[in-house]
Amino acid sequence: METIFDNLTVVYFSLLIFNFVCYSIAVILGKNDFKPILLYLMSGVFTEVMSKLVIRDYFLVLGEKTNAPFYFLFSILQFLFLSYFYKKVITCPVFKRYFKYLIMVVLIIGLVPYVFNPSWLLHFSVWLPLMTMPLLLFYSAYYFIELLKNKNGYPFINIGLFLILGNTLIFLMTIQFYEGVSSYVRILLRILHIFPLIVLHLLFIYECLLYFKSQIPRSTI
Amino acid sequence: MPVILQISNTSINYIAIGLMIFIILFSIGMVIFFLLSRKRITEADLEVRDTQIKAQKDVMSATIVTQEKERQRIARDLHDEISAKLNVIAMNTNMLKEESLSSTEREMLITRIETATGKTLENAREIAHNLLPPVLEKFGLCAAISEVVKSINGHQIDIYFSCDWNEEQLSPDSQLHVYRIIQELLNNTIKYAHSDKVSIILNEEDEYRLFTYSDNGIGFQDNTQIGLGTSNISSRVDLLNGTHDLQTSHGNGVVYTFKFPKS
Repeated sequence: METIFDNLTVVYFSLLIFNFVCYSIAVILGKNDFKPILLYLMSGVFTEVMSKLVIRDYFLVLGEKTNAPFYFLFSILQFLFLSYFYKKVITCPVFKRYFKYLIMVVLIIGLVPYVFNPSWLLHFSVWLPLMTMPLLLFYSAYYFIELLKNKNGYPFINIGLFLILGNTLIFLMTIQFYEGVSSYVRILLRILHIFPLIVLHLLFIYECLLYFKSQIPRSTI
Repeated sequence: MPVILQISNTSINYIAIGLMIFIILFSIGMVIFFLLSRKRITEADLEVRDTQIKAQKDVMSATIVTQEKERQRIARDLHDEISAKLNVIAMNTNMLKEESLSSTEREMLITRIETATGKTLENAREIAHNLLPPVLEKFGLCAAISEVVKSINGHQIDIYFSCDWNEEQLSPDSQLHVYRIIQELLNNTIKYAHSDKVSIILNEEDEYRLFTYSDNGIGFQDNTQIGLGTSNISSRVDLLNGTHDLQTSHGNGVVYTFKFPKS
């Protein structure tokens, strides 16, 4: 099972890099709606690279061998960039009006405990993701309902995000309950976390391919 | 106690695994559902496009048929009214060349030529008038309709006509379209309706120009009686970005209501 997990991780990293390249090209070609996704991918690549460097002892964070601060940063960036994406694509005027306030309230609630307990930054804490992900899940569900009425949009990006946010939320909640649990169950949980990540990136690639396909000029003959 | 904790944590993790599998399956379901609904939307779009193309073809074929009919009518008018009289003029002019003619005969021929020339002129004016009434160009829509109404009024049909439209705000093309619609409706009434009363009312609202046409004729019951004329009316209404409504039933005449936006 360990080997399956390792192989899936390699596939995930490859897809992350490939997606990053694809979305960079799409944004260069003028697809502005993909900018938040590119930024989200960029923050993902940054977090993974930093984590790898820390794991391989290239540097320490404040004297500790931990990638928790990078995951903390990723949680904030993920929340901001995906909210920005949904702001761009959701057409509901009420949502657009209260968007800023929602972001600010959730960020304040999410960040205040870290101000009072800075040590949380150096140890993995699920508080911030647990505060930010439900709102993103709500956006995703709302956008899906909008997509059923509209012809244009990004359904595959949205379904991918719904899948990964829902899965990550459950995965993070179980972290507190690892004590005494068999290693097989833990690996299965990790596999069930990495598999949706792969599906997310495959769906991202499909949506990007649909965009590239739409850019090919049609024959008039 | 530690044993209870172990069971509890394992159970929580199993529930989490179940939930994660559920979300994965749910998302796969969403993808399939979305692909199917997209397919359905595309098919519906294609159907709408087909209907639009068919409607455009219908309008185009109606336009071509009308054009051909109008050409035939003009050709017939030119042949029957103008050419025949010009032949008479040519023949009489040739006869004038005869030196053996007496002065009385010569005068008779000149009178014939004058009469034929006068009639030809009158016919030519009539044909031109039918093509584009000069009064429409010079005095506007209300005056042009008024002239048509006067020419028909009293000949078995009583026409009530009122016009409050501000013609200066209407382009010459729009005026011509409305004029042709009224001509078509009057033609239908005269030819088919067996009506003795017609009402034509053109009035304005804040954002719309309204036009109501009604007669007390035999009316009609179903769409099978809607012909080329009615299809022409629809095309002209579309060109003016307007809408129209027809209320009719057998024995109760017709009431057409037209609504054109001002801007």
